[in-house]
Amino acid sequence: MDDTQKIYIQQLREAQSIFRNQHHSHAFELAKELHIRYPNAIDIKIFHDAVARSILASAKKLLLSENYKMAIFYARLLLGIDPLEKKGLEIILEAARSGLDTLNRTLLLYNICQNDPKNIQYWREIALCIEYLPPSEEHIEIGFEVLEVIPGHIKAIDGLATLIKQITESETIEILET
Amino acid sequence: MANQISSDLRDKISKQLSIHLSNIKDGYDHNDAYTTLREDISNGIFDTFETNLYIVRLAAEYSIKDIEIGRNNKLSKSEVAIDPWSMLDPTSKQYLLNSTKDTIENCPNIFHLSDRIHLRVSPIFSRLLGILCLWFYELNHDASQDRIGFIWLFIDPLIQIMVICSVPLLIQPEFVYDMAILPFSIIGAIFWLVFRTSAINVMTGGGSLKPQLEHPHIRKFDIMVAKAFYSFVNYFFAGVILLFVTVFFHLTDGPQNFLILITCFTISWIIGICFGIIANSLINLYPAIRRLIAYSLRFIGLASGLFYIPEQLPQRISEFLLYNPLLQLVQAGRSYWFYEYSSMDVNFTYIFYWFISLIFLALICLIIDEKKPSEVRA
Repeated sequence: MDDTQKIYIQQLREAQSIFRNQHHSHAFELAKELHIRYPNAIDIKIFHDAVARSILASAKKLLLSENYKMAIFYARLLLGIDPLEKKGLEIILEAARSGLDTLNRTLLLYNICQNDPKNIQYWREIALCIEYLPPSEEHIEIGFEVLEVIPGHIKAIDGLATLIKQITESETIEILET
Repeated sequence: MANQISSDLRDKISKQLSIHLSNIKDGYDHNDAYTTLREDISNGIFDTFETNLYIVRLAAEYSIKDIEIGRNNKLSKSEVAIDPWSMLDPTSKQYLLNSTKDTIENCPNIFHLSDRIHLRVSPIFSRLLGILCLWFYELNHDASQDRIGFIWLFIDPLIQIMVICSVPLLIQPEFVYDMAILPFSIIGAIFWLVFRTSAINVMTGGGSLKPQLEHPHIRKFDIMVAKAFYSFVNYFFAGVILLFVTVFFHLTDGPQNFLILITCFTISWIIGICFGIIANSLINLYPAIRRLIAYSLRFIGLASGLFYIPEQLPQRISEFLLYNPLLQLVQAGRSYWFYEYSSMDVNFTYIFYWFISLIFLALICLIIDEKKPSEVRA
């Protein structure tokens, strides 16, 4: 056993002990770090995959028990983990629909899908929320981005028109007041 | 808000958009034209008409919406029957099939209908064509897994049927109530296998067809039926070939009433689909039920008369087993194949009630599932 192997086995044991103490997210962060640092170590890969599956199971369980915020927290850990990412995205969408208000839901979904035009489900959900967002330039820009991904989406255009109308009116009132 | 946008601005943007649309090479993908229009706006081409950039951008989005609505109406009205074939068109945005195998490229020609018929066909026919496309996709996906793919599609059901037939061949005499043992077991095996595989295919989800749910015309039900149709075709052809081989070797005289035999086979298939839909719905509610359903399928298999007929069993057991509609269907299948045998136990009214109840339950499950937040499609 060479020195590198000794070091990573020690770190792996620490991560495993953290996982056994029910600190799943912390253990997963360590497992990801170790996996990046030692990509060829099979023990680490097995541990990393096992923790990822456990995180997915926890997220599902939390979703069923209607603890939406924690479900989103756990599911977000899975983003970028290849075979489980899709399930993580599904859990986030379902939890966001059920547990978050329109603004937080939009910001969360946009944060996740902004560089991914193929994630149509998320963009559709955002399109339905635009109308109910508080008027701001940031939200209007989100609306235009939605239309770039789903051109001609009627709800998105109507929502965007409402936002622009609200912001234009508030600007006019400000000008009149000054 | 749309009223606040000046008509001059709308006209100018629409003209600019139509110029960009006429310049695009791929007639199906309009995104390039839309992107160029948005670039024009950010370059300030329309600033003379309106100073508020948001209103100009919104006007552009309204023009894009008009184009998109026009395209969708064109698809939903005049091209209702042709539309499913756009799933097979490699240049189409709705291209369903990734492979360019000859078999698939020829599909639109094989099933080509004249324009007159196109005008008459209903949306149901259009949906059936969609299911057919999904079936081709599944077939191609399975067959292209390895070198013996297409041959294996034919051999696999034959082997499965023969494995099941080997049991009655070993435990039963040469003739069971005057029925030759080989066709007797083949009929039992194909009825059971079509029920089981269609139920399992429907129950376990879309598999390779699941990504097609993103397609605007495809629903979960279409994928379920396409997967089940796959097993129907497999076991129907394998069963018919094996049965006619037995006729060729003079083991049996041939079908007494082939039409009713096929009807019974189709009912088994539909019952399998309904069972699968109900099981799928229950599994979504309580995942642990998966284990129970696996065992219930085995129990139904043993109780379906694959290896025996009810007349061979003690009366108490046969009375109990005859509550199983699949056993009655298998018995009906045998009665309408063999001239020598006619089952006294088959009750078509009983089968009909089961059939209607299962369809009704499956439809309820489908409706409930489609209303779930995770299944709702915007």
